[in-house]
Amino acid sequence: MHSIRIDPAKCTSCQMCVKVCWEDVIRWDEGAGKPIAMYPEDCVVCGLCEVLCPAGAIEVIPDWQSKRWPRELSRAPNAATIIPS
Amino acid sequence: MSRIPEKEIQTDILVIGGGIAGLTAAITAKEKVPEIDVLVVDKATASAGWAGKAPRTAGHLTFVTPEDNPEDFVRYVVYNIGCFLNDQILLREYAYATRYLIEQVNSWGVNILRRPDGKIQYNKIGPFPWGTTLADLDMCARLASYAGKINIKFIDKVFITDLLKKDEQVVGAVGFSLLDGIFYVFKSVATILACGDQNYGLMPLWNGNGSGILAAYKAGAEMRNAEFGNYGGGFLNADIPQSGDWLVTGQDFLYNAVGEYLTPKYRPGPRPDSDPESYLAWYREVLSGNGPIYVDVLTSTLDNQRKFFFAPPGARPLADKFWKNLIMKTISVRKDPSAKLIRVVHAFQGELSCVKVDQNYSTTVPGLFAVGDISFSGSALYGAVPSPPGRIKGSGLMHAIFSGVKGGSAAAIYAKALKVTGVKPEINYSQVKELKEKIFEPLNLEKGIPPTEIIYRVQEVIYPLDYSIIKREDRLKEALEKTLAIYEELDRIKAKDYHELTKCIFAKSMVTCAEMFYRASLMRRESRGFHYREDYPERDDKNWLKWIIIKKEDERMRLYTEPVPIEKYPYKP
Ligand SMILES: Cc1cc2nc3c(=O)[nH]c(=O)nc-3n(C[C@H](O)[C@H](O)[C@H](O)COP(=O)(O)OP(=O)(O)OC[C@H]3O[C@@H](n4cnc5c(N)ncnc54)[C@H](O)[C@@H]3O)c2cc1C
Ligand code: SF4
Ligand code: SF4
Repeated sequence: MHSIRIDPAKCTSCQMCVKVCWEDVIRWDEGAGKPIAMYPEDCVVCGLCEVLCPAGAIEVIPDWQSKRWPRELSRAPNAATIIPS
Repeated sequence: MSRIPEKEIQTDILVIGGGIAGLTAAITAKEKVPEIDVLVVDKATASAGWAGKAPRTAGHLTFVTPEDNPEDFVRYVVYNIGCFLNDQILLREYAYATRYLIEQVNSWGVNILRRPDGKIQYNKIGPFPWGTTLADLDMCARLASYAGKINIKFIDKVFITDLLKKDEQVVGAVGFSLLDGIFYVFKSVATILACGDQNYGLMPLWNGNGSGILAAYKAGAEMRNAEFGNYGGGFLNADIPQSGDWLVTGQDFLYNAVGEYLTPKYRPGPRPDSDPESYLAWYREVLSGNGPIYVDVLTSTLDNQRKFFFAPPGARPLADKFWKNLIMKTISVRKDPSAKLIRVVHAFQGELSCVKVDQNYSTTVPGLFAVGDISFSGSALYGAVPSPPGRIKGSGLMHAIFSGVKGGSAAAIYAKALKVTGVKPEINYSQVKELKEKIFEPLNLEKGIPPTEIIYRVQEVIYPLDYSIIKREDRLKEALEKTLAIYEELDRIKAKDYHELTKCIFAKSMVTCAEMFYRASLMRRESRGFHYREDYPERDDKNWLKWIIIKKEDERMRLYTEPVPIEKYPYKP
């Protein structure tokens, strides 16, 4: 699964990342007063939260192998490889 | 379900979706008739201006520059891109409006690339009658800030599921909060759908969920040009296509396994952007045993940079940072980052944008407007192509702005007119109650299928190239059958929380959208624009100067044809 690492030591609790995330991955944790990566499986790795965090506290580490991908021809035997037989 | 708390909110204009089209429509409506209330509701945080696709784009705005003749633009698009399925009246208006519209968004705060003399800086590629300028990626943040100043209201983190109807009119919408599940009931005089198109979740940044298309269809709105709902642009790194390692101009640098340069063979002459021919190249070469197919990434990357990132460094600080970060991440997935040739598969971008609108971006249901990506094909402005990039990069943002201005203005006049005559939005509470039960149903199931399973099943029927882009009767029937089989699973779809509930709606809209696409593709027995039929490879102007219209009638999907009024238009085949 993708991971969204938020460094609490650097984070200034400005909530920018919560407003920026368009996939509802990052939520605001009222109790901790910090953002939390609640649904990392839905991150699309746009990277905008990283780029806009004024404290440089976020790192998005993709794990694309965790995503399934359909085969590219309906009758092709295998998934991501089309090699002549 | 009646335990879930409700909120009822009244507004003159309800804008569903606050991406660039929704924000443009909201601002235009409010400036046109300042005394009306305008409310923007978005599943993300539109009030801050980072919702939607625009902040993640390249920032290209393609327009008819001072060097170009708008009439040449119309002619080129009708002959070469839209293939006579354009609404030529709307297209002409667009051709003349684009320059003015760039100045318009600039006056609302959007940064546009300028030359030292203050004129818009643009790039022209090839012999085409248009040029491209660039905006920085904070464009929606600036529009949202402007919208706040003129007293446009926002509700963030609310996902709209259905439209409300009274008699034949749309009178509002319902949805729920992603944060706490509160059920929202909106009453509105005019409603503008601006919630994007259907991308089927395949390319990471293309996240249009089709929820607006489904809502409009359920409310009885007509659809148009659904057979042009899938776009293939460029190629993907076959080692890990899910990463979106997208070789944007790859179609110009294609090689087969024996090292033959394929582009000149399949795609001669200057082309504005992608077309089905580059996929035919991939498909035919693979089937005849010449696969795998490669893209020369070193040359295509340079070409891409030359074509698309011509702004001087520092002119677009956010775009510079955003793209540097994204490109680094993308290249890091490559097995060998310095390799010249990369094995590729097609880059499928589902782009179903078929909500039919007239020249005011009004749908066929009174009180309902649709702007931006959701009605790109449905407007028939560009004709026989899917939504952006369609076939001209930089037309997505421009169309979103154009349609936002047109639809926002028409909705404001409509709302004002109804208000003057004393009409108040009245909703039907039994419809609201029924919808509430239905919407939250997936949360009540003990056992069921997660929406991700359904999503993947639709992806399996929509992605294969020989179903969705290189079409043939037998394969289309097979794909349609597989699509229809998925409907049976929809009652068993289960969500564990409100976040996952939005994915249930995405899954449902995907199935309906795939059905529309395959039915319309079967009906059109010819090839035209981005609709390519192996069994009918020629364009048939005698029988097919027609639009295919889709409509829900008696709980069934019905298809009709409507002749293109070609006799009224200046350009004829
Ligand atoms: C990576 C990428 C690069 C691109 N580059 C360019 C480019 O350089 N130039 C160009 O012209 N075009 C480009 N495009 C296309 C362009 O981004 C779109 O055409 C344009 O942004 C569409 O705007 P929109 O407002 O219609 O839709 P969107 O931006 O999709 O906005 C839809 C809004 O509706 C909200 N929403 C969705 N469903 C619901 C719901 N059920 N309830 C409430 N809210 C909802 C969403 O959160 C979102 O804010 C690019 C697209 C991508 C993905
Ligand atoms: S944007 Fe950065 S500083 Fe602000 S809340 Fe998020 S992590 Fe913290
Ligand atoms: S990278 Fe994009 S999708 Fe992922 S958490 Fe950040 S803003 Fe959200």
